[in-house]
Amino acid sequence: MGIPASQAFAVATYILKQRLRGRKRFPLVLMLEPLWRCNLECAGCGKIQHPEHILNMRMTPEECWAAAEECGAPVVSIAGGEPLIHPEIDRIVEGLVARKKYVYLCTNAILLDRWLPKLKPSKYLTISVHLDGLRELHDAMVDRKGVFDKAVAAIREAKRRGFRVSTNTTVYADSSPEEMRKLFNFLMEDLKVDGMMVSPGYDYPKAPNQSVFLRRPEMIATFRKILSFPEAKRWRFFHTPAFLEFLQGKKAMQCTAWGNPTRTVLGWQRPCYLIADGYVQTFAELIEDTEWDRYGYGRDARCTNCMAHCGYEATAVRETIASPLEGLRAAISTMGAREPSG
Amino acid sequence: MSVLLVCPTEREARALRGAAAAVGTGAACAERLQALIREREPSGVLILGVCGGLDPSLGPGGLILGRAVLARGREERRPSQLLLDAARRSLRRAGVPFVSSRIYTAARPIASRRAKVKAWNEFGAAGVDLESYWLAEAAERAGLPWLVVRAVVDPAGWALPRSLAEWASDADSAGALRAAAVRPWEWLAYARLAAAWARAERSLRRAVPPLRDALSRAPEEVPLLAAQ
Repeated sequence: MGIPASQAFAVATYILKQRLRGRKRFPLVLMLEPLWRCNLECAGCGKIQHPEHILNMRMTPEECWAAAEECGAPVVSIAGGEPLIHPEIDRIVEGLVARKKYVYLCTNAILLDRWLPKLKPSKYLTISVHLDGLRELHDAMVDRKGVFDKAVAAIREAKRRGFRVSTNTTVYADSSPEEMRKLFNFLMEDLKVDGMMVSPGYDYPKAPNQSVFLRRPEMIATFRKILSFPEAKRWRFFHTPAFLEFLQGKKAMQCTAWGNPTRTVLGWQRPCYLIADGYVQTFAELIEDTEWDRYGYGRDARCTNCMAHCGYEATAVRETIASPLEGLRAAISTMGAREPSG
Repeated sequence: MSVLLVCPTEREARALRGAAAAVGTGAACAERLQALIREREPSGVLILGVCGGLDPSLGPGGLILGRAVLARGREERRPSQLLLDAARRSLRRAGVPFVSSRIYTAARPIASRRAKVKAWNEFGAAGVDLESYWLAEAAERAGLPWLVVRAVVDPAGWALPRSLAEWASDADSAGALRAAAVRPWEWLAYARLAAAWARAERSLRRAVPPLRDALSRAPEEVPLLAAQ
């Protein structure tokens, strides 16, 4: 799993508390999108096709903190859009860290060097840099030359300053297993990132390039190859072993859409981070009024080719907590993870 | 308006307290259904029964309202979307928990956990049975609206005892029990299945009135909704 034991313990404790309270549905990760504006137009992104007046909208730091408190999830993933375009992103992060939320600040890293002096390293903060391949592939996927080099330089600087840094890789049709192998080796051995996240691309109907997406059987075949390389055992993923088995088709899972609720500039997005069937103004409305059983693999055609971590990692975490054997495997996988100070 | 309720086995028919006619298992069940349609001239067909679970979120008794049925190498069949929506509303109004998903009709039971994972990944079906596809196809051939609802007996995480893996029809039940009698290590699995079967029966019985209601309204309501 690779996440520090303190974070794993905090999440496990949170889940047990929710179970003891008899809560059937409770969030694990708040997906916070304080804006949808981005400085890139990636081939597989379905987040940035909103009208201009919506792209101009931003959540205030107070709204972000209120969303975190309202939902109560122990982890907050700040996504978008590009969060570092937000002029008050440092305040947003600081406020969430002060609330003892484990924050993943997701970024393409183009603006990271400007923000690093304003952010403080903390055990609660992880900078998660988007990298879909080595130089040629990554720059092609984000449709701009030089972004890979910029991101690599920013990761080195963030590490030098003592930040916990992870990467987030989306696997597309053009991501050959060999390319992914080289990327993960580079990230672990050369850049020495603290952990990596990986997920197959979701086939957003609005994405600029529809040919980049894998279908489910192809995703399974690709992940089987990627994770069967001998050095894969040394790669440190910020995922449960159960989720990695699911990606390889070795384990059946159903999506837990309510595990990663999404708060956007328009409100709480129903039902999940990837599908927008509407917005509600309170977290309680989202949880209580959404017909959750209507969504998921087999249940909704839009979920057919989705194996994304925002839907399935919550299932894997719940299974891990429920099964002593899975729990032990996950505990072992946290060993060796860096515990940053702060 | 009369709705014809059908299920595969006599045991399922008994569980439904005689409300459904047993039409047998496997592809041959379609012929029996066609004969019943000619005899009774129903306005719709409600296909009921138990199934194996593939969706890992469903436990024993989990109810699946089929949004599509599929069989290997065959074109997927779907009930009318308006009818499906009416059935969903009807079940929700009655407070019956269910999921709406695909149902895979296989040639034989899917017995092992590994085979269930494989079928789940391949078909994205919440449940597996031996008949729904053929029955839906027969109803369509007769020009009748249809719905299928199945209740899970053996969830995705359970393996079927070996003595049941080759079960194909009512005629095999006695043989399966004889085989189980000399395999004491399977008795616990049978006891667990018996308890799960009872839960599945209860789920099916709860689902019948709202689904029959949705289907019986279909001829008058569907054109009205379609005109909107």
